[in-house]
Amino acid sequence: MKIIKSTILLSTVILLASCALAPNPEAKAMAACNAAEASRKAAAQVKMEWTTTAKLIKKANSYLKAGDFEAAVKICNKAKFEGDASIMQASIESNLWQSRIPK
Amino acid sequence: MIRTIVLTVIASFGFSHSTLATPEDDRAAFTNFFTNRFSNIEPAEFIDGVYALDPASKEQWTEIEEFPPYEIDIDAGEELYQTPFANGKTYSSCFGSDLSSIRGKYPNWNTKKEMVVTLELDINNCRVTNGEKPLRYKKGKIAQLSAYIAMQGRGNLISVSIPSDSPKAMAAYENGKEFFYSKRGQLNFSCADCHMSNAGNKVRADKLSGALGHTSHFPVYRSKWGELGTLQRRFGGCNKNVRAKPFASQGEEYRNLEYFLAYMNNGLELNGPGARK
Repeated sequence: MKIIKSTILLSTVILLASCALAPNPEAKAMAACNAAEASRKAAAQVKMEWTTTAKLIKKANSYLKAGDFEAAVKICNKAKFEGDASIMQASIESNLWQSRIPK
Repeated sequence: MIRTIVLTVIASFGFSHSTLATPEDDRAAFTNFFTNRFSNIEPAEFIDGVYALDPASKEQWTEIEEFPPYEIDIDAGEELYQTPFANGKTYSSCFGSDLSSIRGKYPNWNTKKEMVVTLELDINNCRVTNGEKPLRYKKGKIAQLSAYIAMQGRGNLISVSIPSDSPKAMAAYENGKEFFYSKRGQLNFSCADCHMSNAGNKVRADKLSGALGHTSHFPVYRSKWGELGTLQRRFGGCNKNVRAKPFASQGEEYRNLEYFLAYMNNGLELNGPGARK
């Protein structure tokens, strides 16, 4: 009986601890969207921002306001991918553009 | 690793070309690209833009040019040009009395300001100097003034110069060149991809124009816009088409691009304003 009680107590403690450690969905979405915005700004800094990235972040913000954090994360991750791709594009082009000049 | 080596080799090759090539070398190679690719078209014909590459459309366009849609704008531009500012002066106080020579002077390198100055920018500079509010770029009154000035300069030759003693002017030219040849936007297209490599090919239902002659005929009345617009308005539209965030009209990026592109068109006849689809 004592063993059963201890097991239940231990399980409850583990469950509560895991809940406390799991990121809050809203915080997770905010972090994803902040990362996306930082990436967009970095792309703008190197003058290679895509028109689609800010639109995605705007859309994600409307999901954030509506409390649909899962959708917001999904869209912000896509926006971050775009921002990162724009920065990579800038880096590649800084090496390649001269190869396109007619000789 | 192999990719890195290939990129380095390509980049160094490109760099060596760029450091050796003068603007005049660039212009000669640029012109040759088009004359080789379109050997049946005389270089002077490229000022007709896409219509030089598309005889069927050229016929329709020639008829449109008999009663051009920008005619009203030229009249409006003339009225704006001749109407005195509040201080009694007119645009002539900035541009001089020889209207026919104005268009051909732009874009140019302003040694005092150390920047590329376009016609539209100087129209606003003139207004501000005379105590007037600047006009909004891209369309409307500034495009009408530009159209009136362009009309007076028809037949003159494009003669953009880059002062050889100014490294900053050269840097602005190189900056415009880099913009022209760099892929951008989600669709990963450079100006050159559409207007050199694919000039004469179709994008959906429309043929792409060649970059040779691009700056000769602006501002243009575009049927798509239903109004007159400046060259830099068109730059912004092109960037949007490839899903790249456009830059501000008359910002450094587009002024330098205009400088490079206009230099590539040196020697061609000015025939603006124009009408386009």
